[in-house]
Amino acid sequence: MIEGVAFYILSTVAVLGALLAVSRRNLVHGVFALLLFFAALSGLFVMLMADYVAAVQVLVYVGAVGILQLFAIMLTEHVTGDDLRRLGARGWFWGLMLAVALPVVLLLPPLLNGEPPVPPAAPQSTARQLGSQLMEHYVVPLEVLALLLTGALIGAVAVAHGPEKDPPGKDRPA
Amino acid sequence: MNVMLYSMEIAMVLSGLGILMLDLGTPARGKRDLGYLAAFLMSLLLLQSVFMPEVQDGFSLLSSGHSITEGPGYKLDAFARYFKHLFLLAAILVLLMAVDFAGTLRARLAEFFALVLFALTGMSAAASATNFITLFVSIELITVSFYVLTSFQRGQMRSLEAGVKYLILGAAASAVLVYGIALVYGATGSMEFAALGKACPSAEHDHLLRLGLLLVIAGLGFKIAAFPFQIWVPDVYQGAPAPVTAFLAVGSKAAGFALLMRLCHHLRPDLRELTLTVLAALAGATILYGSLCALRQRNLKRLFGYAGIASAGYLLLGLLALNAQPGASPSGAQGCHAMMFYLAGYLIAVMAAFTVLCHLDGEDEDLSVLAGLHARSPLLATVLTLSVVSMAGLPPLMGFLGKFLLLQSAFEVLSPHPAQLWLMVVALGGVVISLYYYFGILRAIYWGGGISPGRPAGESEAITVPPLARLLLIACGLILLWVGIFPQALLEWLGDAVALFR
Amino acid sequence: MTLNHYLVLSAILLGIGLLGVLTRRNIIVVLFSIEILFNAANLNFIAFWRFGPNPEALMGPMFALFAIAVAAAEVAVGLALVIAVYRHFKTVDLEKLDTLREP
Repeated sequence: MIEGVAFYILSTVAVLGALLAVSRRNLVHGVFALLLFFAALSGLFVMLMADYVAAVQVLVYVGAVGILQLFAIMLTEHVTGDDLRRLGARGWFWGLMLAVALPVVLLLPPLLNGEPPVPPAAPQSTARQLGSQLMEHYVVPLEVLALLLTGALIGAVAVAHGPEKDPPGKDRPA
Repeated sequence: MNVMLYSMEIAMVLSGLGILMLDLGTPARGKRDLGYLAAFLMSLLLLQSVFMPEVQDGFSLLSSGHSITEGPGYKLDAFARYFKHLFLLAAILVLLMAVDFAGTLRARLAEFFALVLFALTGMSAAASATNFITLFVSIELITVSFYVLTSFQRGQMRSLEAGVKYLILGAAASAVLVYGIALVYGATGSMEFAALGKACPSAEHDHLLRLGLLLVIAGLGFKIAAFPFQIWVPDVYQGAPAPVTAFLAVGSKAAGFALLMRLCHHLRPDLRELTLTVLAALAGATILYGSLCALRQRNLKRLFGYAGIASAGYLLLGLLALNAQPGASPSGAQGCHAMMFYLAGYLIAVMAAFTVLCHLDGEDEDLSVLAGLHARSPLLATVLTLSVVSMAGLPPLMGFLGKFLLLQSAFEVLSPHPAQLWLMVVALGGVVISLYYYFGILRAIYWGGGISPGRPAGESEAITVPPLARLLLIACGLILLWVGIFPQALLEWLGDAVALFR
Repeated sequence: MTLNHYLVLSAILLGIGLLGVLTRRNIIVVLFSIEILFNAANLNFIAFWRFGPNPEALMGPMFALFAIAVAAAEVAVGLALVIAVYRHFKTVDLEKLDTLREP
């Protein structure tokens, strides 16, 4: 019973947060809606017994990514960019069609599914097992991921670093 | 766990990190030499891996008593080795191209070279992936490196714009790929490709698996630039620095195809009906779209972009053989054989063409910069001609046999389905159209308006090509000719590499 | 709560994310939408793992961790690009980036 209430509250928050994040004109409002969405998902992960993933979700998304986005907004647009209002008419239509059609297609199999699977017994805390598996079975993907993060770090600095010897006059429209 | 299994990737990563370290102590004038160093290290790795593959086995024998070719989610077989060699070759040529191109990159050369090596590591890991986790991280390593490489000329608007467009579309495609993998995981309960061959517990699971597979194909279709997912190609190809475009055209595409080949190999027979139809439709649409759009292109990089889309379509034809019912007349090996041969020819031709592009002094890449190239630099004109003729698929060059083998295997697969023979009509039509647009390049070289009065006199000066680039260009041209006339050695080598698919 | 509840929620989130990617022209909002897409997929992974046959294998949470890290890296590079683009174009509107197009 309590589980059901919690699920509906969290999923409502998640859906509303996502909707607001993609539809608000004010970007800062959008970021806060997005943070709400991340937090609600983290709650859902807790309900699903994935405690470690929930913690990472909070740390990475609510913590790092959210702050990064706030910084990016502060560094670029005036907070309420007026030019955000316009939605391209054609793109809007196709986007709506696809956004409605795809979930319907994806929803069909579970809705057809007459008997829902019974949840197995809840596993214990997953952190320890995840850690040891990362170091044993998944060590190669982990290293590749580490390289990816290094590359992203180097790349982000290389791309966003302030203007240097490049004379601005060298810009040329193709 | 056996470290020697991953020795090639480790060598690539260490070289990349070493270059970043050396950069700290290198004066600004010497930064270009880091590119030579990277290319040299990768050449050593390539030579070692081609001529002395037993070195790695020897170490694993010493450490564990038997030769290991498989780790979790990773397999080092002849197939993976072939692709690793292709990627290494591409990276070496790209690094050398980038050294000559360094003048326009201006800053942060060491980071550029290191990121090329990181992308190479991702491709190399992708060639060995046997589960979805390795597939995902290696694909993402490639893509994230390319986001940065594409926008590396950040003083230029078009490079930045290309980077943003690639990032937005690429990240959305990655998200779709992840969603697809989630559905496949839900249906099979496993991340291994091999689980795709097992029966699902219920009809609903089966439905889920089909949906997931379609999304995974869509995600990988973005990387190989198949038709509905190709929208990024022309803009990104045009805006990215020329060496990056070449690497993107060859490396990213080949990695996507290597993964698709491994995936399709494991598919259950009843799933193959679905994938055969989907891939056939994708192939037809891709060939048609790429060929038609290339017709009216005047910008060289965009033209190669559309031509690249068309060749992705031809490569998809080879994939059809893997999705035929088991025991059908052309085995999956035949299709893979054709794809891998075609990829090798495509690699050499694209690298040669883009090396030529790097040495053209025109600021924009309009076809008219080629005017009178045969008088200004006979070498560049000859090599570009060879590469274009090879891409067009004319004998006796390498591209001819590749395209021929692909069409042949597709024809044999489709002959039991007369309804799908329209695909062969489209493919042959694409070949004919490609003759026209490739001929447009040749016309621009030899009969272009070189003597039009509007051109400044200075433009007809001879182009000087640095000795190393000259050597590489000659080598590329000779390979295209030699392998085109005597393909036996490469075909035999490929025979080992596709043994997996028999 | 059954698996179906979570799958429906995830499909709805996927739809919202796609809507954002396809209709919004502000690069930052498109990046928001991409994160929503990744999160929808992660919810699927965790749900399939929780209701799946062998929860000991932990493959679902493992992939979710990888996906979280990759998405964060993509967003970091994306935001760096946004800043660089803003410096040159003085806009973050995708429609105004039009130096590259068909002649």
